[in-house]
Formats: sequence, structure tokens, C-alpha cells
Amino acid sequence: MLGNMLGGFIVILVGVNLIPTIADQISTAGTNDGTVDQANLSTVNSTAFTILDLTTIFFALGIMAAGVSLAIGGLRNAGLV
Amino acid sequence: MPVWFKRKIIYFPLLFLFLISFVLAVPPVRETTTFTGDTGISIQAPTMPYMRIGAAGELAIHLFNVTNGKLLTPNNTDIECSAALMWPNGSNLLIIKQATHHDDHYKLYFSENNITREGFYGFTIHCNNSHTGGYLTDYFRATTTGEEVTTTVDSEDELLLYFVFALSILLLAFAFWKQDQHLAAISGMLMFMLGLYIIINGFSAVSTTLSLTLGIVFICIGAYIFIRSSMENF
Repeated sequence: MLGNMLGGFIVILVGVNLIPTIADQISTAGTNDGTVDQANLSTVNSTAFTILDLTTIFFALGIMAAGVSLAIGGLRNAGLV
Repeated sequence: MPVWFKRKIIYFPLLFLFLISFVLAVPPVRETTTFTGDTGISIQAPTMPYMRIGAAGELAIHLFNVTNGKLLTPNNTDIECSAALMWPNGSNLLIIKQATHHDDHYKLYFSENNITREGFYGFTIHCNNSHTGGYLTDYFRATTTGEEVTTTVDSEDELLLYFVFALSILLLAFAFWKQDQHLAAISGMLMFMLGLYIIINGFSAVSTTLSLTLGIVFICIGAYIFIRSSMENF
């Protein structure tokens, strides 16, 4: 129970701290309006940037799932779910 | 009405549908054109694919008669040339209304204040007189060095990539062995970061398309492991 919660908190902590790094990297890769800043990159084209732009959302979804999992685990152990 | 006909009657609307195209088909217009030869002006300008930011320069434009290939010089024609240089976003950067006459050709000059950003610049050169004309549209890339930008990953970076990949696989294997969803989630995060790095910086000498694919695959696998491991409790 405690180990599960501790692990969950560590995952959330690591994830939350990594999100700004990911967002920074993506903003370096392209401008906010979806166009690619060719000054910084030569590999990413506009199609790839669309996928790249979704990365932050998927990462946030993962952290959210970890949080929900932690809450459900806790509630289940307490017999509330 | 026979039974077989009743059964097949359903195919008739489909048949009619396909036949409509034949009914609606318009016969081709018969038009006779006589080829009288190409006319106009061929514009030749030796533009380089890469330019250095902040470089001043000039562009020599030679004009040729398309019909006979003869050089059209500013002295023996009344042709004038104009040009437009576009920013990487397509807006006008520089418009030269009349190119300078120079011996047997025309010249366009641009200063060190014109090309100030990295990126692809487009340009159009247009030469004409009252009855004939021609144009040339092309683009070039401005870089800090004036040479082609090649994306390379240093060997140390490459080693780090291998290390992160090995670490994420090791963590995943350990997560399966110990049945620990949190280790799998961290392994997924590492794969996320790995994919992101490969997409942005490329991977070694692998082509852009392949490194992009590799990066996207890593991100997808990372997302799957990260989200799926978190859903173990659901």
C-alpha cells in the first residue's frame, strides 16, 4: 500500500518535472503557430511538428493516468471503490 | 414476372448508375493549334543554393531570346528587369524596380542589411519590354556559414542515446520481472525523451525520414508504456 503510493508519487514527481523540458524542446523545434522555425532545425517538417506538438499532451495524459491510478489504488485499499 | 428476374432487378439501378457516365459524356472539343515556336525571354541568373546571413552581394542576369538563343543585352534591347526578394514567410523583403545595366547583362544588388535571418528566401526576377517578357522564380537558403547545414550527432551524444535506450529497456525488463508498474512508467518516460531527442536532433547519419520515423515510434511506445502501466490499477 505505502510502497504503491510512494512509487506513484515518484512517477508523478518525475513526470511533472520533465514536462517543462519537453515543452521547451518542442517550442525550440517550432513556433507557436505551427510553422517550423528553420533557423533551429533541419530535420522537423510541418507534418512532423504536428505530431511533435502532441507529445506534451500525451505525456501529460500519462501523468494524469498515474495520478488517477494512485487515487484509485488508495480508495480500493480503503474499501471505498 | 419470373422469380429470377425479381431477384436480379436490384442490379438494374446499379447498372443505370454506371451507364449515366456514358450518357453524360461530352465529346472532346476538337481544336487545331499550330505550333509557331517558343517565344519570349529566357532569364539565366547563377544563384547559389546557400548564402551567408548578412552578406552583401550582386546577381548577374543574362537574358536570351528563346526563339534563337541570342544574348539580349541592355544596349541592343529596351528590356528592363525587376526583382522581388521574399522573406521565408513569403512577405516582400526587397523590391528592385529596375536592375542596373552592366555591359552585356543586368545586375541586381543587395546589401548586408537585406538577408538577416536564417531560412529559405524566395525571389522572382521579371524582365520585359512592351511585347515580350520572361521570369525566373527560385529560392535559396540563408545560413550562418553560407554553407549547407548538416545535422550530425556527436559521438558522445550518440553514446548517451544508446545508454538511455539500454536503461529504458533494462527498467522495462525489471518492471516485468518485479511486476512493478512504476518502473515501467519511468521506462516509458525515458522512451518519450529519447524519441523527442531523435525527432529534433536526428540520429547519427540516418536519413531525416528514417530518424523522424524512429523518433515517432519511440514516442508512441513510450506513451503506450507510460499510460498503460499507470492503468494497471484501473
